[in-house]
Amino acid sequence: MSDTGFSISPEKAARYAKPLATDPDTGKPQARSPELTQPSKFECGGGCAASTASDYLRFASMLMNGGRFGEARLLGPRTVAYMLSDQLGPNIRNLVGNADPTRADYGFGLGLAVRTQPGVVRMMGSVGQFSWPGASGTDWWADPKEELVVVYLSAAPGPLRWHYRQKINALVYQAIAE
Amino acid sequence: MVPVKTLASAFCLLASTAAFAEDPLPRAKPEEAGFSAERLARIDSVLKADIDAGRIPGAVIAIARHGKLVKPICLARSA
Repeated sequence: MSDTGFSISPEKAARYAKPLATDPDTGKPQARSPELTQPSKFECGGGCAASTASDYLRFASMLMNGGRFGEARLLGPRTVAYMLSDQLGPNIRNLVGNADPTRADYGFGLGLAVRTQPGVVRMMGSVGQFSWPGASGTDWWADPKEELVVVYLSAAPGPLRWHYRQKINALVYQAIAE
Repeated sequence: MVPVKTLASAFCLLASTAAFAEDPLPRAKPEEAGFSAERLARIDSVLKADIDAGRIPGAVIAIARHGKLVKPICLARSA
């Protein structure tokens, strides 16, 4: 994952996607946030990384494969299984939909949304599907039952990002023939 | 208004080359991975229409199934 990090070096800055100058729905100005070409004081794992489709596909595939990518064992399979298990107990109010309306009624593992039921939730996928999208318009998910990994990258930080999360989900699953 | 076209511009080819310079997984044709190629192509047409309409500046998408890279797409806005 040589193209992934918490900052972007000057020689890679030209490849750093930026959104349209104004949000097409609200007309409000929009920009990259955080701007990762500037040195960061805090490398926040929750929302301050930049990557490529190629790198992130490796990362998501590794999680789906229980911590292994190719010959490399990066995480223990028991650790990954625990991470990808729903951790919201019966007495916990599920507020996942507050963070991302498209993931409402998903469960939550250690760091990502986990699907616990075939229906009810607003997107297609199998039980065990896991994901967590990016605020700048990016999205990805893995569906272990389908052996499917999808990475979608677009610089669309406005409310439009929710629309694309559902759109890409529908477009990918409708294309599965068997 | 400047007409906007979506095409495999030099930028897109460059970005595509950079994004997939080293394939993260071996490639497979859509049918080999259980996909309908015709249905998968809808992703391109939907995103192209949205880019042309000025909804998004561009998009990169990578789909992998059964351990194979099925569909890398790179679309960019080009004036």
